[in-house]
Amino acid sequence: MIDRLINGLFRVYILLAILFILMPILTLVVFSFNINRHPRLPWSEFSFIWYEAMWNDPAMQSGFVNSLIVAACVAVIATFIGFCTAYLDYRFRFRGKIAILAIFFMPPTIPIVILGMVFLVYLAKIGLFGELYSVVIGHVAYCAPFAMALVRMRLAQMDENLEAAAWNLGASEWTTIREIIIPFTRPAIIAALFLTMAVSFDEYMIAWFVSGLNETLPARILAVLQGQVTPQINAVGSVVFVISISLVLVAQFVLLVRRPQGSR
Amino acid sequence: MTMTTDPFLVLDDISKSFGTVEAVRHVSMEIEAGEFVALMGPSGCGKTTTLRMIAGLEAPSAGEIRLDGVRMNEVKPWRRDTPLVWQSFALFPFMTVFKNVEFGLRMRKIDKATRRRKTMDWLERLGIGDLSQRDTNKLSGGQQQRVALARALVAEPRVLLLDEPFSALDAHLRVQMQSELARLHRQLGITFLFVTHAQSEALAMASRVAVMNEGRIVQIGAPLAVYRAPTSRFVAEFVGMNNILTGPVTRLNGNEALVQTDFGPLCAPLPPTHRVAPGERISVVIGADRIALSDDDVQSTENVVKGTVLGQEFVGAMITVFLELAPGVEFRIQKQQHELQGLDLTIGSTLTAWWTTEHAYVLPQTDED
Amino acid sequence: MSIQSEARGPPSGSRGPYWFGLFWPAPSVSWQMAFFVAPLCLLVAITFWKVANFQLSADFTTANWVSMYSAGYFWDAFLYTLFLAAVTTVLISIIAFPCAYALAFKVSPATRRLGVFFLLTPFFTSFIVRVYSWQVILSNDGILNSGFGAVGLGPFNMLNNSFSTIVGFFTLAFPLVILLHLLSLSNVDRSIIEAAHNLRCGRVMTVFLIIVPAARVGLTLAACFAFLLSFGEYLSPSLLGGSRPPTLSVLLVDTVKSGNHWPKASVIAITMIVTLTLILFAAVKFAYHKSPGADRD
Repeated sequence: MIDRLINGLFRVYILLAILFILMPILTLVVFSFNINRHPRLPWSEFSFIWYEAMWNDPAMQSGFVNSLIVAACVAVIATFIGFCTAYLDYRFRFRGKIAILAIFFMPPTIPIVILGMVFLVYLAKIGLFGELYSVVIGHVAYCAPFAMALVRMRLAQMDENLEAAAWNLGASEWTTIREIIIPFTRPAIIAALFLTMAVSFDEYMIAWFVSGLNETLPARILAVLQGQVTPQINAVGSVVFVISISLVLVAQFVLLVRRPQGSR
Repeated sequence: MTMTTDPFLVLDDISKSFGTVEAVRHVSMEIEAGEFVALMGPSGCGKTTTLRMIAGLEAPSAGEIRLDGVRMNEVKPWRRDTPLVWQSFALFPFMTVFKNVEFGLRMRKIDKATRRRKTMDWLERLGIGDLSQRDTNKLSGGQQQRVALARALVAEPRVLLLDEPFSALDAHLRVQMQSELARLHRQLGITFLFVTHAQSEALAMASRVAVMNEGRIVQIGAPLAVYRAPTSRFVAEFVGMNNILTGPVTRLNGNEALVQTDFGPLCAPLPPTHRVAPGERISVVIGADRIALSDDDVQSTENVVKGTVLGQEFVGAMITVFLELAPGVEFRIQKQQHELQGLDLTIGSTLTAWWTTEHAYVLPQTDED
Repeated sequence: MSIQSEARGPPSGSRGPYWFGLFWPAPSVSWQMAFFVAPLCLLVAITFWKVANFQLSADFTTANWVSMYSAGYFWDAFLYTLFLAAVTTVLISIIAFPCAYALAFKVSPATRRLGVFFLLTPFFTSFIVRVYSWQVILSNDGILNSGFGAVGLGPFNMLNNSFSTIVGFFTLAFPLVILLHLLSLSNVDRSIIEAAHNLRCGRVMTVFLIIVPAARVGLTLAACFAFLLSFGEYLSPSLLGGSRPPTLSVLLVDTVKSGNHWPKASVIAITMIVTLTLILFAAVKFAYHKSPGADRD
């Protein structure tokens, strides 16, 4: 009896925690369809006007396209660097490896407000400030560790003799990368592409500092939030949320739900 | 010239160290084409490292490996024809059975039709032709073993390396695969080099056995010779179920020596290889299966020991009886079950064990510890 | 840098450079050198530069350090940031633990997977949007207060103070901390918990005497993350906290954007990085330090 009560209380506690996590998102989505200028209870009337306003706002349009371009470039570069570093760690042992990996994993542990400023100063100094590729440069170092971690975890599941078995059957080291390592880590590579894309698509601080006039969507949102807030921000936020959660869901699906072959 | 008389595979004084650990020390061995050689020893003795060096997966720190008279040390693994059957099988999990077996042919740039024919040939030959489109992780252990064998043999190598290939199989399958492997060796006539820690596998299949310990080959020879005539205490204890008694020689009698042990005098045939002088300590090996048991006193003064029963162990119809001769000194006797009928085998009862002189064997070295 | 001793692999016997081995570190090392290490070095260098007529020029002056470290508002911001981060860390750790405990021990594996999904996903999604949403929820004419108003309460002032800032920090760090707690709790050997129950250690006692010490490393690590994330966070103190009083991150952004004084901003940035490094180092040292009882057995 007491046990059941305690278990019930624990369940309520979990639900409250999840409610806290979901509340801002639910609020946002719900009020993006509310016709009232000020989001407050009671709910007034269902409408798409804020979505229409967003659709017709040229700054939002270009921000959206910019974000997509940046996210795609970041995903490819960061996943490539992450893959190489994961294989480096898996396969080789050499002096200085710890140092390389420590520096590699540092960017996500530095507050992004500092990263944003660091990139602003550096890119301005070397004349690469204010373009879309400035944002890409700023995001890659930040995203690559996530890609590396995913690929490295997948490699850890591999039979340690698999590579040697391929060499033993006549595949050179390069061929083995193509024939064995890439096929084996494919789910992790795909997940890494989507996850880094999501992280880049969401990132507001570095983008806000270095994008100059070529604002990405989150940078645009931040600029709006610091000035005159319009209710269409709800609609924009909902769209951003739906896109980034879709990317993360695809990454999780590839990694977890579609059971990867050959897991030990 | 040595080039023409060089055996098929030569390990010439090879050593391998990993950091400060010497895994293989000065191993020399010559293997003729078509031999079935077993490398055996306890885990960590360097047998797998030796095999990996032949496959090119480790580089020898010193010495030379020659295949057909050609130095192999610098040849990359993918440029050798030394396929290996792995302990874990190491099948490629994202490929079908067919793709796995075909892999070696594809790497050799063989045309598609030939690849297909040879792959199917080998799958049929190993009785897994109907599994060709299956995923490897849906196969049983025995089926995976066959895929691993087909994958290694499909490119028609002249040597096949096997690294404890049966350790992942259950006892029943192991026997079946052993006979299959022996059949393959007879049919193909190529060299098999087989690594195992199980002496039964080595003795059952190999034409020659090399026993390794602490990185060295301690004895090499025909299975029965190694089994019956171990040259060291280590081999005697590792290869078979042997009892070893040690003591000084008291008297020489023709080609027999009388040895005084703590458990009574015993008699042993003199080894042909070295001379024994009275007073010298020698070790005498008596195979557990060569000993008779009785609960009466035995009318003999030599080759008899008395002990109390410590326990027994059953393996099929065989029983191993453990006698304690003195605190801490164990003596093992292996018998068929029916041979022990009428004996009191309860723990603590006293039994007498005896054997005939011809079944005793003197170790060439007395490496007591 | 040479890559000679491989962890697993064929011998690099042949002469000439080992191109295959040299390839793999190349992408990360070159990218990190150009676009991470070099910027960080510039950040350090720039603190010694001077600004004259809104122009930055190379110099070696300690003026930026001196003026920043002698400014009262800088130390106020520093202490306020430390205070907020510390309070958040403690609160998150306390509130997250029962949730992780329940997920680890009180629910079915399926529920646990679902919970992990809800915790992991938000970490990668739209933080800025969620912070804005809290503004909508907490503001004086916002959703919560209009709800309270309907039953005749309030309005309560929930925005532009430390409370709303901490709510923002929670939005960022809370799911991650639960996840890390859950991870370290699932690594606790179940049999020692049963052994404790078997020795008549009650439920609550078992949590504090057995489970928390056994999961200490993971719990400390989670606290580190909570501290790290809230110490440098910018959106919560500016959008929810109203920037008054400013935290270091708010000060940093203001110094860059309004003040246009990069050297002084760099001084703030380096102070933040050094502070974080010292605190996290001390925490990790504490986590891996042997507990006094462990020496005896």
